[in-house]
Amino acid sequence: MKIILTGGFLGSGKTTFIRHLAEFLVKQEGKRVVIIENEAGEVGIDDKLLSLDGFQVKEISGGCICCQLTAELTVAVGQIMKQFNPQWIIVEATGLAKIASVIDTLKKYGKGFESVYTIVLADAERWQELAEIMPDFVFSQVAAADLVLVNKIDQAPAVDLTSIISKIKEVNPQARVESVSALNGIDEKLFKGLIRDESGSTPTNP
Amino acid sequence: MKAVARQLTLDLQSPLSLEELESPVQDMMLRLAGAFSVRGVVPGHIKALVEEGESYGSFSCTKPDKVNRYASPQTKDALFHRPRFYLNIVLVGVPEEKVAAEADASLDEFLNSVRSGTGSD
Ligand SMILES: Nc1nc2c(ncn2[C@@H]2O[C@H](COP(=O)(O)OP(=O)(O)OP(=O)(O)O)[C@@H](O)[C@H]2O)c(=O)[nH]1
Ligand SMILES: [Mg+2]
Repeated sequence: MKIILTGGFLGSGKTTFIRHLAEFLVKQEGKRVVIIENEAGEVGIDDKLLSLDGFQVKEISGGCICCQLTAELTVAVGQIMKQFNPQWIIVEATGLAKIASVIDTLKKYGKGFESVYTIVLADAERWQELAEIMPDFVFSQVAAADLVLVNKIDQAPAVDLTSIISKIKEVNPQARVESVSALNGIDEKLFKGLIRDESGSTPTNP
Repeated sequence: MKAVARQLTLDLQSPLSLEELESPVQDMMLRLAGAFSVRGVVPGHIKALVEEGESYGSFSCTKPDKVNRYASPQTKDALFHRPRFYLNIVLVGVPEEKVAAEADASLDEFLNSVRSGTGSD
């Protein structure tokens, strides 16, 4: 079982992306997939949307899996493994999560999975403004990623895109950076590359 | 966590399609987005879901001038009678009480415009 952790600021397109990714894994690859949804707020919307779309979803609510609910996350992973034995768990963190802390929790306390691969979405439509309003936070999310998806490129002029990508590469030189428009669909090649990268990512609890 | 969330059942006096619900939902979200945007963007995410049986429409706002809609295919011709309605607002740097007050005022206005009794819970 492998984990894909998805982060990125509020509204950057995490759920939109996960819908495509889960569909690819389930329909094209024939895999069992469970999605863990951690949403800011007592009433989740994303877990309902993904359930309505027919995916297996586990909701963790009432706090953030990067701080108050770290134990809930590791317990949920264990339960999902026992109950569904999926090949993939996709975790959607809240848009306010410190992604590095979630990775730490999974690596320290999580059991029974091979690896964690982290995808962070950057919202190209609001990048400039968000980077001015809360630079440390926005950059720290990107810094934790194995793969950064610069999303909503349908809304960003080409010049902006170039500067966004170069900033991201400066903050996280190790990460792969791709530009996408999750709203309009994701090229299968990206998913195939992702699965390939995932097999090479750091094993957990060796 | 700084989130304002509301859920209720709309008791619509006459059934409405998603098309008909769209503009009142949009108005509500744009009012909220307008109240709290910073440097021309929503410093967070305002989203809503209308759901009844298999039909649903979701709405999302990250810029003060536009609301995106996503609907299930079977929702196109569906009529909503007593849908569940969810509103979820997470904004960075705005006191939660201010968001809650604006959310409740906008929600009242929305309920009036769709002529819904408050089946609130
Ligand atoms: N124009 C455009 N809009 C997009 C794209 N991807 C996502 N969106 C829109 O951005 C909004 C937010 O998308 P979500 O997938 O809900 O974002 P999220 O990161 O899951 O949001 P939270 O879970 O609330 O943090 C929705 O209205 C999407 O339709 C894109 O590629 N282009
Ligand atoms: Mg989401």
